[in-house]
Amino acid sequence: MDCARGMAHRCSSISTAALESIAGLAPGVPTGGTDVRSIGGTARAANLQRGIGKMVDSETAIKPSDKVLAFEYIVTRTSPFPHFISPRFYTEEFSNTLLSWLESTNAWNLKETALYAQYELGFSKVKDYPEIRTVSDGAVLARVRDEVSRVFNVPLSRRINISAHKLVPGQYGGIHTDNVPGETHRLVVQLNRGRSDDSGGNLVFLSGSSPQDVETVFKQKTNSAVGFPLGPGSYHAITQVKTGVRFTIIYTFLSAAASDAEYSYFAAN
Amino acid sequence: MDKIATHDRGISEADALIEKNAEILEQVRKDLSQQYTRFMSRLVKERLGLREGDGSSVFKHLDGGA
Repeated sequence: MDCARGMAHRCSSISTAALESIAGLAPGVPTGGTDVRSIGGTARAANLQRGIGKMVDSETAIKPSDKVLAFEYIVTRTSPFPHFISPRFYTEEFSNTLLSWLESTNAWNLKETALYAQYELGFSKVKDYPEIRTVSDGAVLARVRDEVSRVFNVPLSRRINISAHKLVPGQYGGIHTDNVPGETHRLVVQLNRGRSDDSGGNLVFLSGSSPQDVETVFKQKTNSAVGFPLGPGSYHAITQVKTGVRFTIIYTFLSAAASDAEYSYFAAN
Repeated sequence: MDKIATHDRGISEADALIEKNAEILEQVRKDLSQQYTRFMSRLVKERLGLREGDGSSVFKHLDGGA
């Protein structure tokens, strides 16, 4: 599960207007698969033709100079709920460093419930990791926060929980929404040495709580990221891992309702 | 033109991350259905205070042994 504090399974419907409100999309913008949303700039008609609804605006293309983030070519989509895709989240060097660390650390904790099974790791509780310390650097997190905020056109908290998940064969995450008061948005980054299309462990977006409501299945290209607002309609799941190991980095943006006693987090500058 | 090319590259790269293989999509639905069935079964067992592997049938308990 990608929940920052634990599992919360809330299955309920959400109106289109509510989703627009959550995502900061203009009311009346259809949420069907062919819709397009620019990132802070003027929509370009040339990008409207591809059928799954996506848009990139070069005026806001992200070319970070730091050594951690790439976070480039952000493409937004609206179905089954608003989300964005970034084919390259970290720099290649940092993604390799982070993946190597995930593969070698023994900081994992097994978490199993009726709904999911996975190994978890909270970065706030990992004290000795000099090679990847910049993952929680305030300036880096500010960049992440600012871009996600701009994509969804909503202000986001500077409090960000960062965790990692490791799923081995047999582990999975059932259909859920992560609709809890303390969490507003989630960003999931895939890290791996290459996973075949039939290896399981896919992040799946659904339009409802039924397995038949599958709308989008994401491939697991390493260093790709998906971001989305959390709400009563943000149904997602992780299919059971069949082969290999699935690693993800999870950024969770906290709301004012998230207490310090309940959540660990880093602060963006 | 460079900017347009950048757009196209971003769009094509993001598009490539979406699974379109019909067989795999169907397999995903089957996998999620199995996960859902296991989840409901385990949830009911937990509510009934049963343990995994005790040989009890959830439905036997629900039906009073019928």
